[in-house]
Amino acid sequence: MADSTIPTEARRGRAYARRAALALLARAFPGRVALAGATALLGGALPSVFAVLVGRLVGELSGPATGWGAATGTLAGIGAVLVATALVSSATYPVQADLYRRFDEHLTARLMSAVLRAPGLGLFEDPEMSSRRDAAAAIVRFGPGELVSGLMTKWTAQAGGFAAGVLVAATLSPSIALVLAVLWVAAGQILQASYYRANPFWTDPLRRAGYMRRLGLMPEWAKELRIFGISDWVIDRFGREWTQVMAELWQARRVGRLPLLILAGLIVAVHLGAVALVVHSILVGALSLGALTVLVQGLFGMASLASQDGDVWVENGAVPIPDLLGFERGLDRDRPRTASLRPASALPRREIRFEGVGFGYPGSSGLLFDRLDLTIPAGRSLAIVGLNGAGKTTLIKLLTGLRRPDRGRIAIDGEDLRELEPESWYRQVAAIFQDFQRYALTVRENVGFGAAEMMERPESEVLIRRALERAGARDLVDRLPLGLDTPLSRRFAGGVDLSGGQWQRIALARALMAVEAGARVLCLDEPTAQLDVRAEADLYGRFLELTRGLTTIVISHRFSTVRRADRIVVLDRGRIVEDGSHQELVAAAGTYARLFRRQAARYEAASDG
Amino acid sequence: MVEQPPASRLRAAVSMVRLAWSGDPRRSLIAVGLTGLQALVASLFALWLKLMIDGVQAHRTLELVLAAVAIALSIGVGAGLDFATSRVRVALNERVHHLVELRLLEAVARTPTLAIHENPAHIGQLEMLEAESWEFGDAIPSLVTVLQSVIRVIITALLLASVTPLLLLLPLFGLPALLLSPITGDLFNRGNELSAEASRRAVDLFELATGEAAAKEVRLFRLARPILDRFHRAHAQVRETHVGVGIRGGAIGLAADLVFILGYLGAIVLAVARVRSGQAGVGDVALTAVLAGQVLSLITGFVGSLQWVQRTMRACARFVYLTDVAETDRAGVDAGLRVPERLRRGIRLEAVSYRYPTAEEDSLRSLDVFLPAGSTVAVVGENGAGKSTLVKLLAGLYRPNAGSIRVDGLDLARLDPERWRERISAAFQDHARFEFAVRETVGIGSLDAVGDEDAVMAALRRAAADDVVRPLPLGLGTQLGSAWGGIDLSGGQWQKLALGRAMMRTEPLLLLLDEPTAAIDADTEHRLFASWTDAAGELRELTGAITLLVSHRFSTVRMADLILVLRRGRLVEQGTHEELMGKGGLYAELYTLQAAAYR
Repeated sequence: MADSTIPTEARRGRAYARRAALALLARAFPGRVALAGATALLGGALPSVFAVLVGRLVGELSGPATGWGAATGTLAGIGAVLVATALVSSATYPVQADLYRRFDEHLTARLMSAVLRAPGLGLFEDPEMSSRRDAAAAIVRFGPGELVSGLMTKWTAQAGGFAAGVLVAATLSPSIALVLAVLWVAAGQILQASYYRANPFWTDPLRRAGYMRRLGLMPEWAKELRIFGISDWVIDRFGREWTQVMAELWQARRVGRLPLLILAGLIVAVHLGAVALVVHSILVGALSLGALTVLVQGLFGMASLASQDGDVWVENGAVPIPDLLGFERGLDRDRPRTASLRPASALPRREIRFEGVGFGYPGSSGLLFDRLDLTIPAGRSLAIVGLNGAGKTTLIKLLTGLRRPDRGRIAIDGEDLRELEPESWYRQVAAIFQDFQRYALTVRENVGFGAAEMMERPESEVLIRRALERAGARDLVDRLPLGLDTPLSRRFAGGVDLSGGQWQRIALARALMAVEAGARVLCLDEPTAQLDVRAEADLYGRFLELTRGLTTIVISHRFSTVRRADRIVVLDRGRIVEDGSHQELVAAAGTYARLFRRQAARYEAASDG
Repeated sequence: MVEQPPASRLRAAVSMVRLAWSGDPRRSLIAVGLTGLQALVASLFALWLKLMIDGVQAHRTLELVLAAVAIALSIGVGAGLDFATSRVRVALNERVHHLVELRLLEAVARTPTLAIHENPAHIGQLEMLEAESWEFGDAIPSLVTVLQSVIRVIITALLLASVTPLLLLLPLFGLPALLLSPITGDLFNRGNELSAEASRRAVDLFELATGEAAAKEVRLFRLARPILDRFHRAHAQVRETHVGVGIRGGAIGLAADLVFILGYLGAIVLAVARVRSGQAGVGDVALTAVLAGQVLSLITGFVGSLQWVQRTMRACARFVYLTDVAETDRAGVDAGLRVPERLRRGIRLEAVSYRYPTAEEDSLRSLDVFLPAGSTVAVVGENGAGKSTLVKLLAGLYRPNAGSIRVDGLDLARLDPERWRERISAAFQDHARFEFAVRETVGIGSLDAVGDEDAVMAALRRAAADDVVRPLPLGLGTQLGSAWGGIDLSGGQWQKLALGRAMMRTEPLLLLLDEPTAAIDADTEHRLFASWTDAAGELRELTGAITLLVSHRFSTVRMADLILVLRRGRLVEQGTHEELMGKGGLYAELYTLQAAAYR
């Protein structure tokens, strides 16, 4: 464990990462990068121009007294340089902030659209693909825009050091300037051991500590943290995780004393040699006072060639870039061909058929479905009953095309689902999942997302209102302060938080919105788990009306829901063990009948009392 | 939306220095020493230049040589100091930052109620502080930078005065920069606050696009375009705010700089005039030109670090504010009061009302009810009736706004909440997901038994959750959560583990079950509740334990000794199943509605 947290091959990859990041930045924003570069170079070079002018002033004054003429010009020049410096320095922040934000946005959006373009759920459910996605997503944690601030800082320092070197070369000797430059750059490289300061090198190892911190600070855990009295336990763990990782990190960052001393000695020695030459040149009259003034400022200025300012930010921004690029390439390779696919509009007209479907999640042992055969006639409703873990939700994922069968096929009116355009099929399917999404956006968006293509059209408002009405959520929305435009999260101005039952109605309205927009298949995965009795009864009172003309698949633990379906199948360990209407299954005296009777008995006993 | 943190500047400053100092006193001292030296070396550079020029003009070779050596040394030493200071700063930053996070964690996690999590004002402060916590790490470094600037200003002033005391007027031209600094500082803070909501939105949308939670819907509903559009809009808003603020701040800074440049040019002209009139040497001009040029960067640097100090102070004020909340939350607790070993009579709620901060209506209104020791109590009601609020009040997670809760006559508000909670247990529908090894995820329900596998297995069996563990590759040792290379569970499986956690405490006085079985089928729920009722029957003799269950399933509810029916925050009916059915009220109506599915 001791040395596993800090990547050892980090050094090698860094140079490549920096090049890749810079290339990406320059390609995405060529004009803005040029502007940022120019700002940085000016900012770095102006002090040297200033030094030259001061040298000239000293030279003019040390000569024979000649009135103010020449000096006035030099003074004006100094004034101009200072104004330019002030201008550059006040322009630096806006230029940098603009590019910083744009680059951040660019990279984040690239990652987002790469993930969004991946059609199925493999990126999330297959361990290997999921870990590649995690690695690429790390880019956001480290603030990709920092590359920009880092580069501008770095460029300014380098330009300053280089310009100072030119001063030394011009006034003393080019070879000494060269030796000094090499020395400073080398010093910068050696001292750079502290590149382990950059986030990517330690944020990841610190994730556990960060998790403990979140447990203590975030509302999700707040209740149980207090109920079980584990606050101190969590705090203690946070401290220990942090200390352990940081101890390693501090060890890795250590720079040996000896190299430091040698380096310092070398720098002092070379400078002593240089000033000896300076003194000699002055004494033999080869160096004027003006040149001396320029030279001394140049010597001081060259030190910024060793500057490490900005390095940390550059690393923060650059290190994760290769992961992102690799992730994009990988997804492009895996993307299925779409040219020969057919649209799925107006399907299904006859049926949806599972034909010998086999499926298992990668990384988990055994198949969830071995040879599943199931025909779902179009325009009818089907309820699926089964114990937890029987594969009900997976069945919905297969049917919607979010997952592909490993074996067998799913046929829509005889056409293999694989041969249909995914987006076009998605448009035929409306669904509410057990773990439906609670978008921290407005009601309009929460419902309108059911038919994303229609959102910008004016008629969407009518459809949204109708979907809300049918989901039994109209009263709820009427009571909201901003109506349809109320954000459903208190984290946004004017927003409100909804209860679980209210959210469920909104999610149902979203699925019904898809129906309004033309979806012909409705999948309901535990659509009433969070509704109270009355709301549930109300919804199922209208079940027939809601599902009329649709191919409906409903999963529920509640018999009030299930029994209203035209047909019920009982799923057990990936197989269909019973199939029929409520009456038929009750009469068949199988699993379904047993579960139903047991529940019913509990209510019947009551009506006696 | 989030206002200035409501805490005094003085208290914020004191807490900042204290925190920063206790993070690492030794390094703080080293930083002060190093920075002082750094300031000295940097300020004397112009002096060496002047001495060299003077030495040349006066033909004093020794002075020339000494000054030249001083230059060589100060370049080498200066570089070394720069390196050392930056290392010390980083080290300080990391330690202080950690210390602040630790203190914040302590303040929040040890707050006995959910006050910080439910009050938007508190949440706002907490979120901002979270975002700013890095600035804390710079508390000492920024103070040290201020110190460094002061040293350099003094040395520079002394050197300039040696040319002519008139030059001491120069810093006056830096006054605008100094005075405008708080304005630009506020500008940047406003920028952050103005863009906070858009930033939050961008993060949300990123999560939607790349997270697993929304993956199914995002694909099925074809949300790629809407999400990316909104993401770009949110980002554009953030960017425009920041760039706008940057341009305005830059313009203010530029104006201040121009004023200074005037003063600077005056200083050089003055020095040149004195050379021309023979009152000063050429070296003095070089000294003035170089030093006076530094005054500007000194002032802007000083201003910059003042702004840092200001921002750190703001973060500190938030910190003080949150610790105050935590402190107030403990007020009224009588540490001497002991939680009874067993319940003899029961828990009585008298005229209990509770209203969420910023809500316009009470969630519970004037609730009078008695929960007898040893009973099982069921709570029913429609969404939003106040069921969960009642559970949280009983757990001491909320304090009633009015009325009192008495446990065998003891006021719950005065009992130490931690001691009370040692004697209760709870499971919620919105259970927490603790991504540890299963052993710990369940075991933390009773910290004393966290490593005891037998106790954990027994709790899982009581929760009918042992089937979750059986197929796991490493059994109780299996890590949960793919983020840690572990296993992902389904919602129902997580819920079962949460139930197991609640079952870790074997002799609670009060067991709170807030729809913990919503994702579990009715049959299993029924059997679980039946077995808990049996267990409660045994505990009844021992501790007088009360079990309180919130459920929508009336087949389970009807088994309870006492059923409470809530409607819009009021208790509208109570009694046994038979009594309530006889009454023909809301309970009977809802019951019949549900039972209809089985006829």
